[in-house]
Amino acid sequence: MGDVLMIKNNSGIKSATGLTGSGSRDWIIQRISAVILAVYSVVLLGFFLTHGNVTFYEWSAFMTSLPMRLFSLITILALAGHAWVGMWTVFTDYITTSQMGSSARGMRLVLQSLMIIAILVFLFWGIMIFWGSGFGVVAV
Amino acid sequence: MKSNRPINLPLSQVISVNSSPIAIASILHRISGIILFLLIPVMLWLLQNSLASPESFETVFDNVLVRFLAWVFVAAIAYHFVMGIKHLVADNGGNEELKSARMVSVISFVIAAILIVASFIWVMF
Repeated sequence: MGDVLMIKNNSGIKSATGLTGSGSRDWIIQRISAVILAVYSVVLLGFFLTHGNVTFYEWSAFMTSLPMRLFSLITILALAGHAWVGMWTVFTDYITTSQMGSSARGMRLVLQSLMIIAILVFLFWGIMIFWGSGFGVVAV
Repeated sequence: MKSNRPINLPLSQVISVNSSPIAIASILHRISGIILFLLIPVMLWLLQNSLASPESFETVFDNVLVRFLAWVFVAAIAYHFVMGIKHLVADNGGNEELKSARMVSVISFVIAAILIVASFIWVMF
């Protein structure tokens, strides 16, 4: 305490841009979501390895089955949490006043806000793909 | 506890003193995570098209650029996956000593490299 070299948050104010406002909760969410994402990756890899030249009907039958719709929903939620904690960590580690001066505070807030908005867009888009009514083709 | 370790080093200095395989594995884990985050919209678009109709399923992979981006995504997942498992093991106290951490970093590089090359052949051809 009182050591100027120890930059420690003693203000009692929790980070407003972290996922849960609790470091230990962010930490555990990062790990649980990592396992979900890893298992999902292995399941998809397993599907592709067992379906050599995959057709549209095999692919859509697999992905729109109820188990995969549920697993995909859980995985999209896990991805949102995982990306939030991960990107927050990167921003708070590198966009700092000691790296880039006083402009860092404003820049970090802007980047974190954009990150959170992007994650919400990805989250709802992903849910729409699996749980929307029909699959509309995106205009290119 | 009073700590005299230097904090708030400039990034360039951090990089120059951290050229061990352990540090490289760590920073590449972060970089691969950023790449994955940036490619999420591309993969959602690809996923949506692949499920929309037999026609869009056939045409979505015709574009070489789309296939290349898909490979970058798969390669980044392969790396992030391997290093993520290394991280989870370290969370439980595994391979945390200098020697074992160095060795497991190099082994992880080899596994990740094999997966990245294999995925290139798989996705691009």
